[in-house]
Formats: sequence, C-alpha cells, structure tokens
Amino acid sequence: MERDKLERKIAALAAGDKRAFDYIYEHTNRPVYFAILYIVKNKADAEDVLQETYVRALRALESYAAGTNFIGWLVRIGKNLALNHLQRAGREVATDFTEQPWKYGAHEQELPYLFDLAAKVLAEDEYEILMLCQVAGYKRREAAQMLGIPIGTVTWKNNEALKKLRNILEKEGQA
Amino acid sequence: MKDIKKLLKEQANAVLPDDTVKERVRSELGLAPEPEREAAYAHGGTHALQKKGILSLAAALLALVLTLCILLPVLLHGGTSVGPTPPPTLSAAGDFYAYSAASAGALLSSHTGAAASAKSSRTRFGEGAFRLDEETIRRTTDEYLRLVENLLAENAITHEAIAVPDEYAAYDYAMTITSHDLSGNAVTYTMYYSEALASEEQEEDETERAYDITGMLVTGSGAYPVRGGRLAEEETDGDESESESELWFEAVTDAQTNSYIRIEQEEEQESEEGETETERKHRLLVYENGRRTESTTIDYEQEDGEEEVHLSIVKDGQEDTLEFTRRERGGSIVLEVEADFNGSRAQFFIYIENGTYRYEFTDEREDD
Repeated sequence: MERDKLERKIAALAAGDKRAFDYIYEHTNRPVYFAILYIVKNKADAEDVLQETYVRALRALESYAAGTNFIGWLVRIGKNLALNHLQRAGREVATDFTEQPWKYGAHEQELPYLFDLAAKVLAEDEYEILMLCQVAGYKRREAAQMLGIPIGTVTWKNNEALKKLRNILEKEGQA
Repeated sequence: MKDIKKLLKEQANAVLPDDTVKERVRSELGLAPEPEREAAYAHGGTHALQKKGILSLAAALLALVLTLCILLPVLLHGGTSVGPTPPPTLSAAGDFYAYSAASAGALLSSHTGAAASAKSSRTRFGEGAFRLDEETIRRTTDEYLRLVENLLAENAITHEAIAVPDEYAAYDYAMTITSHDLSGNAVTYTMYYSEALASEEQEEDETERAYDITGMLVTGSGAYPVRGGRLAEEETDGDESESESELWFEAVTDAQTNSYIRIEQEEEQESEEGETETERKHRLLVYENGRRTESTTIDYEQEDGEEEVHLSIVKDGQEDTLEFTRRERGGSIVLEVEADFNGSRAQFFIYIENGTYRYEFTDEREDD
C-alpha cells in the first residue's frame, strides 16, 4: 500500500468524494480489526466495534492530522471502543457465555481454537503481525508499512509468534 | 511451522470480518456507491500525453521490462542456459542477480541518457480532471505494454558467465547480461560481483540463509558500484514445499550526493499436491540526493493457469496503475487491462495476433 495514495484518498473523502471510501476501508480495515479482535476475542463483537470505529472516525475525519499515521489513528480509536465494549459487556452480561456457550447459542461466535490461543498467548504486536501476514495475506513489507515498523521487526515477531504457537500445540499434541 | 501457517490460512474465513461491515459503515455514513467513471473522449488528452515525457516513462518502463524478466525466465522457467566451454561459473543466485543487474543497467542508462533531460518536462494527468480518449490510452499503454510482452516472451533476457578479467580480479564472478527489445535489438551489460554468506539458520525442515553481495555493473553509460543482500528461506514437509526469497540491490549513481537506484524483489512460492502458486513483488526506487523521487511496484501473481501483473508508478506524488490479465482465446493471446491514470479509469482488451496489437475498448468487463 502506498501511504501517499491513502493520504490523498483521505483528503478526497474529507472533501466530499464518496468514492474514496472504498479504497480507505479496503486498505485499512484489517489492522484495525485485528487490534479490536485481540481485545474482544469474539468475531461478531469485533465486527460491531469495527463498524463503530469507522463510523466515528470518518465522522470526525477533520480531527485526523494529515500525513501522520491514519491506520495508527484508526487503531487507537478501535482499541478504545473495544475496551469500552468490554466494560459495557461486563456490566450488561450476567450470564456466563464462556462457560456454557452451547446453552446460550454463543458458540457460533467463538473463534477457532488456534485463534483463541493466539489471542491468549501472544503479545499484542505479535498477534497483529501474525494475523496480518498469515491470515489476511499481507506481505511482511506491507504489514511493516501498515504498522509503521521495520520489516525486520515484522519478520522476527512473525516467526516468534509461530514458534510460540507451535510449542504450545506440540505440548498439547496437536502439531 | 508450516502446519501452523496452513491452519491459520484454512481458518481465515472464520475469523476475517464479514463484507457486510463495510456496507453497514457505508449505510450509516450515507456513502452510497457511485458508478465508476468510464473512459471517454476528452479534449487535449493527446497533447497532454505527448508532453508527459515519454522518454522518462520509457526509462522506467524499460527497467520494469527487465525486472519483470527476472520473474519469468528465472523463477518460472528455471533460468536461462549459461556458459561457454569450459564454463566459468556463477554463484547459485547468478540468475537472480543477472536480472537485477539488467534492471539497474537499463534504469541507469535511461537516467543518464536522453531520458534524463525529459524528466522535468513530464506532465501529469490531473486527478479525475478529464476523461481520457482512446488514443491517449493506447499511446500510454503502449509504453507499459512492453512489460507485459515480456511475460509472453521467454528468454527475453539471457546471461552468460564469463571469466573474470584481471581488471576486476577483486570479484569472484563475472557475467554478461543481454536484453532484447521487441524489435530484436540487444543491449548488453556486464556485472562483476562477489557473494558472501552472511548468516545461516537451520531448524528442523527450515533453512534460512542471508548473503551479502558487492560488485561493479558496467553499462553503456559507465561503471557503477553495486551493493546488496539476499535472504532465502526454504521449508519442506514431505511432498509440500514453501520458499521465500528477498533481494535488494543498489547501484550507486553518485556516492557524493547519495544518489542511487534500488531494486527490491520478493517472491513466495508454495507447492502442494503437484500444484504451485507463485507471488512476486518488485519495486524500483530512484533516489536523488538521498530522497526518493520515483517508485514503481510490480506485482505478479500466477494461480490456476492465470497470470496477472499489476503495475504502479508513483512520481511527483501522482500514480498510474495498470492491471494486466493474460488469457488465451482461439490460439491468440488476449490481455485484459484495467487502468487508472491518476484517477482516470479505463478498461479494454489488447489482442495480440501475428505480431500486431489490436485495442478493443469496452464499457463492460468481459466474463469468461
């Protein structure tokens, strides 16, 4: 992804060009989504928070400082909303979905075991890099651009994340 | 490690956000989709193109042509034959370097030759400012088409190991690289280089090696020091294999002003049950006085017998992108092209028959 082009599209959207939305969403949603998913650990909730993130962010587009780091800005908004969501859910949900998901029909929202494990055992940056590179299909160079970190760091953390998961699965006899 | 990657990929759809999220956002924000612009006649388009600096464009394109050729002959067709008898040898990655050298050589020649003088006159398309006429599209695409033609031609670039002359005895290897243009004209470069293993890591079925390269690239416009590195990762598991390689290669045009051309290549290849998927990305970057002035990205993807090339050229903060999809119909080659000339979009087909190129413009994409 070319950061310059993204900035141009942001400026275009701010100026009222609705066509720019597609490009902006397609080129930014994955890192935002995974940052949210890491916190809420539930696909449906993460999608809801992702939606809220874009709605709020794009309504307040004038508060984004052009040329800084748009994805980082979105991620910060997304993480705050995800934390709010957890707090709200903690207040509202009296039933223990995690212990008895089948009872409440919540099992369909559960993540596959490997993803659940990754969210539990990996550091946030390792998780995000692993998801971008191995799940969303981005090249390490693209992930590095998105996250604003060197490609060497992406390579290292991607490998570390894979090793951690493999070690745990091997201990459990699954890999 | 491969199992983990495979598991993650297999289960990706269960995790990735649904497309409806985008529509929900769009709906909530009142961003109803609008029809895309279509290519249409415009006044002044041809004139603008002529002023665009064809030579400058051609300079970058020629380099891209050569870079693309790294992709096909070396990685797709297993490389070109080398060597007189008795053959001087090249390092294991001689192919890899040969094509980078050719790319750099072409770009160097272009930037130091007539094309350089045209750079400043390059006129940009204004974003969405006007619609492009078919002639403008054809002329512009003709320049880019050189890249795609090299996808169709095998052995467009060849290289040959030669004995290292005394003058360059400091280097371990020497080779000539010959690039043929569409008319059959050949340009030859020579590269002298050494490669050293910088690090090696082995873990079960995975091997990772890093190499450093140094050398000298000789083109028609002069001799340029080159420096670079290569990272190769290989992983095998029974009849499945996965490999990744990265190369960066810089030819210094002016050490005092920190001006150079940088070429980056990245390739991933995955084989499973007799089927191979390949993805490659190339970037050509021009730095002047330590500042990047031009960037070209080439993505190549081959899957299920279909080849796609995506080009993106960024200069002066503006961007042209073209996506070529190669198909065969009735023994002829057809290129389906989607282009975005700095915001002005066009879709069309190019039929290649008996050495001629026929453009056919359409307002709708053709389905197979």
